[in-house]
Amino acid sequence: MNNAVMILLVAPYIGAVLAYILGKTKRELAFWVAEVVGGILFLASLVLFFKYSDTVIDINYTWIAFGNLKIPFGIYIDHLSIVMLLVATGLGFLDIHFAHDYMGDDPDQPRYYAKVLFFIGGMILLVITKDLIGAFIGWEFMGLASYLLISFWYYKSSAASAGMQAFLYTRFGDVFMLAAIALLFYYAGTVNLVELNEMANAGELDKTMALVVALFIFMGAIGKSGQFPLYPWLMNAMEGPTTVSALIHGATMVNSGIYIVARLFDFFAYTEALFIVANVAALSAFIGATSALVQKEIKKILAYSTMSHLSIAFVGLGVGSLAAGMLHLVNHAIFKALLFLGAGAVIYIAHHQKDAWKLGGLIKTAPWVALFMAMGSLSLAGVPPFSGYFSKEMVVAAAWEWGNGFTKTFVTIAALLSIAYITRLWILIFLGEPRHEEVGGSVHKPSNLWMRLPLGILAFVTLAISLWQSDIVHYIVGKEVVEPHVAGLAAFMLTGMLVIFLIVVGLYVKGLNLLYKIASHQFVITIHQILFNGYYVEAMITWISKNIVVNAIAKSMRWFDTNVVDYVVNKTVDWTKMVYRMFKAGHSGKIGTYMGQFVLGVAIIVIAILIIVKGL
Amino acid sequence: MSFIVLIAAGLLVPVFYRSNIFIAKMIAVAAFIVAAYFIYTGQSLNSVFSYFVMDDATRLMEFVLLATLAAVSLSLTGFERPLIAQMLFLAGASLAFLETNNFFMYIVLFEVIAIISYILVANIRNFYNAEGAIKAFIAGAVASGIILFGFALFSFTTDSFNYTDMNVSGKFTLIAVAIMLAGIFYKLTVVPMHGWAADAYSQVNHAAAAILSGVIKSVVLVATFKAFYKFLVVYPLATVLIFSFFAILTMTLANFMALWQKRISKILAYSSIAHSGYALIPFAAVASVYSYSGILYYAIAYIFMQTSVFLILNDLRRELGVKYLEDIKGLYKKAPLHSLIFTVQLFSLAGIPLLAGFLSKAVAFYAGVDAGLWWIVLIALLNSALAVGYYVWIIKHIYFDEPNNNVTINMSQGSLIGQLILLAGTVYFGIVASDVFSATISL
Amino acid sequence: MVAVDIIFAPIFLSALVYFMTKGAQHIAKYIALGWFVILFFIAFNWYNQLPADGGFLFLGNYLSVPQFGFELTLQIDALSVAMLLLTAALLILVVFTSWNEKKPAAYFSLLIMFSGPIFGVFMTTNVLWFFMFWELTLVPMLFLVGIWGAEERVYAAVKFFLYTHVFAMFMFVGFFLLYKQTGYWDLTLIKETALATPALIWWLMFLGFAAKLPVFPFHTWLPDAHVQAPSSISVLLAGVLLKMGAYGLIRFTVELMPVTTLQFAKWMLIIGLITTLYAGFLAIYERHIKKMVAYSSISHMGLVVVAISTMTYDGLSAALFEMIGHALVISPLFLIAGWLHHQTHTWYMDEMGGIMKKAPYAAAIFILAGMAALGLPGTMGFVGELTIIISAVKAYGWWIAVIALAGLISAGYIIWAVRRAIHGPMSPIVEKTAFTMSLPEKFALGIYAFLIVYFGINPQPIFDLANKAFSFFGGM
Repeated sequence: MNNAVMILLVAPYIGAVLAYILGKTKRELAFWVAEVVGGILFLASLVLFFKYSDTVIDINYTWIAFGNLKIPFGIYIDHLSIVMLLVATGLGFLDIHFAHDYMGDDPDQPRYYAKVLFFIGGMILLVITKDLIGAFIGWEFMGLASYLLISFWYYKSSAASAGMQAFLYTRFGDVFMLAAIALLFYYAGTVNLVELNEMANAGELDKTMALVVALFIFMGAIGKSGQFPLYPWLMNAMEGPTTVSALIHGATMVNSGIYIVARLFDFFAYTEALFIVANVAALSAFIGATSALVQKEIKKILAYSTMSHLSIAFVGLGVGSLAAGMLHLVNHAIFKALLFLGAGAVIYIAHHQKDAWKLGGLIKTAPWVALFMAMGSLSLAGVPPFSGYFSKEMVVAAAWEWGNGFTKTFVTIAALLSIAYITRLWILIFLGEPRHEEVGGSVHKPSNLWMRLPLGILAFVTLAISLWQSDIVHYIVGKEVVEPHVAGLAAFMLTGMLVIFLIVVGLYVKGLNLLYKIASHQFVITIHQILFNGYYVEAMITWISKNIVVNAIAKSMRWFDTNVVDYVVNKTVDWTKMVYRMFKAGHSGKIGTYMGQFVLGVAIIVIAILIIVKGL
Repeated sequence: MSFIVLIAAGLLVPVFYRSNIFIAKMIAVAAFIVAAYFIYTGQSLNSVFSYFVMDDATRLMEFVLLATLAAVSLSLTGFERPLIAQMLFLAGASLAFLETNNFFMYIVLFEVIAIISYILVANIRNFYNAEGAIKAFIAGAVASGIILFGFALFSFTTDSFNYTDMNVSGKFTLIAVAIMLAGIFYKLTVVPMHGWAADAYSQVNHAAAAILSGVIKSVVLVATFKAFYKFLVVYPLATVLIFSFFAILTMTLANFMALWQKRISKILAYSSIAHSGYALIPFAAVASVYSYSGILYYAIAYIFMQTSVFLILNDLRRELGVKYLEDIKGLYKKAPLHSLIFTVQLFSLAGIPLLAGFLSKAVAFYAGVDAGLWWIVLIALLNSALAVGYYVWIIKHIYFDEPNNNVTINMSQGSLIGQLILLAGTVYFGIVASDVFSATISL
Repeated sequence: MVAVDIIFAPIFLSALVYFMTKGAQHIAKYIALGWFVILFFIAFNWYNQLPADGGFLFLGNYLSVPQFGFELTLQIDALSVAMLLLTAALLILVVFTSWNEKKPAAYFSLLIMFSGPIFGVFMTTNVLWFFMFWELTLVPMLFLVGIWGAEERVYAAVKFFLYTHVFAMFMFVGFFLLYKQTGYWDLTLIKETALATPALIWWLMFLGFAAKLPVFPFHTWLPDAHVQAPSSISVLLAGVLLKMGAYGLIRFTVELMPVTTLQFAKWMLIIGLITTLYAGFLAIYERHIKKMVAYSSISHMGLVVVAISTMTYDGLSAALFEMIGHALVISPLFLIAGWLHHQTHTWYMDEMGGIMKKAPYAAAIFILAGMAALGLPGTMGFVGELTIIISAVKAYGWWIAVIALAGLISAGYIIWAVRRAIHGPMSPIVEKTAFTMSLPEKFALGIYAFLIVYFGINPQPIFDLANKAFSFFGGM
């Protein structure tokens, strides 16, 4: 096996163990192990990028042979994998680097770095595997790492609950994926991702079953990538350390749903599941973008924006443009990592104050961070020449050209609104006066090496990568890319964004009275409430799981178990006592009774014999 | 020869009652060993009278019987000494009972054993003993009358009393046999002729109860099976109906009765009655080749375990005054050896494997299945599972509860040797099944 | 050492150990440990000697009764060896986890005694002897639960004993009928004859195994017994005793009467499915930590029944893997649940909370084993679940993919348990408890964790055994 591939496969886990064990002896060692391993992984990915861009690495291996079946485990690294690898390991490396200061005070660093490395291992496994089973393994590894990292501060009730919620929501989707694996084994005879695409292109698959499988896989993707209706976990996941949010819930793990759809793009296209993908994603994009408008916590705003942008990428895939979707995935990963890490820096500076309404005026204390955040925000908003502009434009264009009305409308609204909430966020953090005494007073100074450097790199990349947008597209998709062209779209979008931008500035910087009047209207407050609570989807799911699953189904089963099944078992004791009492009546201890019984017995025998004799 | 040795020893033993009970015991044990030797060499009653025959099965049963009686006599003490001579007579009568092939002798010896059993229970020390003894006696007297009535009827219809030559056809015979069986059921404590047994077994001296419920019942089982075999085979329908009915009735009633008793002796008494129910299954299954193996195995296993539990209870009652279940709480601390042996023998009664109780049930019940009575066997097995309830409940008191006082007792050497003999029998016949089968079925 | 000694020696030696070590009781555990290690190596030796073609390795005939066609035939195949290795390994680990048990002489002599019949169950092919050993395993368990158990120990021990005993009786009649119809007590010989009316026999035997497994609705003894038993004994109950049921199901229904089993497979499937989901929901509702684990155990055994019901080469292999996986996964959960109760004196998860802070090692192992129980990749639980789902879908079609839901339900109770007991702020009870875990216990838990992960990543050795065991099914 190729050395670089071997390193990518194994190094994260060895690193995780080492980081934990060495970190237990000396705390800083955990960081250095993680940093080195993260660097090695990124280097290995670069090696693959430079050496294997012409050929595809294809390794096949049988993991389990049982009965008449074989469960394969293969490695398949093509351009798509390499791009994902670069994103995962590159951002992973920077994130670890950033954590040096951000997590510097935490006594549990060994645990932290071990989990992060384990997570990166899962992500790598997902993107380089050839089979759906390998993908599922990586998928679940990430799920576990995400769960453990969200609950990293397990002693906080909210963090513990958020972790549980994240695990169960994603698990809900994963179960469908597991079912999809089993179905594929039976109906397609393979779980090989490459072969599935080939079979789809050749039309060898039963269409109904393939549609079911595709939808099941998409259910997994919905869970993992925070789409409607399984998104609330993503918002609560912000309870974890911000570095975790940046890496896992902003830049990498949440992309895995998009990746798996992209990887099986031909299969999805064949089954016509893309139609559903596009519509679900458009709805999610709308929900995410609107909810992000009214959130208070910085990280929640970013989380909703993540959801919305992931959906935009999904829409790209859904309307049939692999290029648009993947391009947006890559761009989004970079600027979202930048924004999250920037938010991390802000939180670090402001003594772990996350409420945007309590921050403010930080541009004076942290100008560089403000600048980098601004670059990230512009990219997210889709302002040229930042990278976000190109990919978002492409998705919207694709939606206009190939999507239905629903998709078109909702994705456009979502794309336009991104400037609103990100501007609002930036203004609340950096402009005006400090609204909270802690923030106003002494602040943590972000260090150049550990905080500004990674932010700077990301800010640079998000700008610089604009130059190679079409190269990336061609690198991933390979063949001729059919680029959507919608006349006047760019102008429409930019105008729309400008108007929204002005409204936001008017509202939050100038404090226009008219706007306040609108905002305080009862109807608007109701809307605000709905948006703030993420359309009450979380409340609904919680209600269902609490009142239907636990308190109706499980409780009734428990009742049945104790009062019917076990009742019968325990009641046998009483029944034997009843029978005993019945029999006991005949045991008076008087010899006369016994003689009577004796005669009865003799009579039974004799009568029985007489009857038999008569019959003879 | 063996018969003479036993009777002679029985006459000699009372001489030493007053002076040295140890010598009396040794004489008895020696007599049992010598008798066993003569049986081994073939010089039992069969060498003198033509209506006694010796075969492998009889010999095996006789060895087991003598070993058990030796064990019992070793563990007797004090006022129980009259039992030694009575056991020697009982042994002599039992040998004749087992060896006979003449129906007339069978009836005579049945009465002899009945009389010995009245004498056994007549060792009266208190009111309860007296009550038990009287009940046993009156019930036995009625039963004897019925048996003799049946026998009188039977004697009109047959030319010969030899088991092989008996005339078994005719409606009259059937009725005669039925009446005789009714009497014999009394001795086997079959419900509803069991009323006396539940009281007598639990109220007379436990050593006597051990002989009564363990030894005598087993001997009667085997001898009766041999005596009635020909009738049972000739009237299959009546056999299956009557014996299945009484088997189920007996075991079910006895098990439910035992389940909620508080007196240990009463539990064991009802357990003994329940076992009679199980033992009727091979009678019902007489069509199977395994029925004789089943009954013999059952008798052998039963004689060891039932005797043993009553003897231990006798020890406990004497040393600790144990009567009720509460009295044996935490017994494992007070009397570890008693507890262990008691537990093993109770497990054997319950039908736990590697003990004779299991294999005997397996063989006896298989005979039932072999004869096509699988549903009766199923009921019997469920009954035996029910029975485990009260055996385990005794064990629960012994091991799972804490004692209410700190008295500890040791087992006397005589008891220990006696118990080890019985335990060896239980374990040996629980693992090795070939002896019984080679004695009853020739390949 | 001949094979038969391995079965009989411990039964009688246990009494010896009990009386000999009265003075110096701690010696008993070393004797037990030594004996179990010897057993493990003997089993391993047999593993190496297994015939390559998947047949039986003949070990000997004893105690022959030609008139009854009855003898103690000892022969083992890959399935038996898998069970023997598992049993020996668990016994060794049990010695470590009960290192500081009260009344060690009695405790370890009972454990030694247990090792005899349990080996016998897996080694003999004689139906009657199988039944004898099957019943005999109950005896040491009765005492181990009844004497060393928790508050409700007597109720639990007696219920367990009677319940399984009653259902064994049905099986016993089934065995009788089996002999009556074929004239053989030996499995390998019965297999070659044609059974006339096996439906009755099948159901009678199934009842016996079903109560042991246990499956709905014969499961209620399990939560009581497992909860009240000391944790190490819960390990043996879940790891070995339940496996006897699954082993019996494979040996006596699948191998002996494949046609009849196929006929009733749908019933097995339905029962297995109901058990899996029903016990899963019960586990979700449970506050009692050990009961939760116990229901999880039932739920997983339901999956085993589903796998067996497929009656295919791969389904059975998956079942065998899940049997071993279940044993190794559920054991640490039981151990830690019992240990937590021992430390905090509460059974209820909502009264715990924040264990992670005080006892990180136990918490980590609990999470790992919990992840295995919910089928997370990289652990044995995943491989078992995956192979079972695949083989079930292959056998029954698309709709059976609903058993994937088991993965969600188990995630529900495991993660919720972790949320309540392990994570979260420290509860007052935990706050004032000083947690201590002995070194042998830590060692044993570490071994469990290692095995769960090792066989989760490299499951092929177990599947090789399974392939050998069920190769006769290859053509079907």
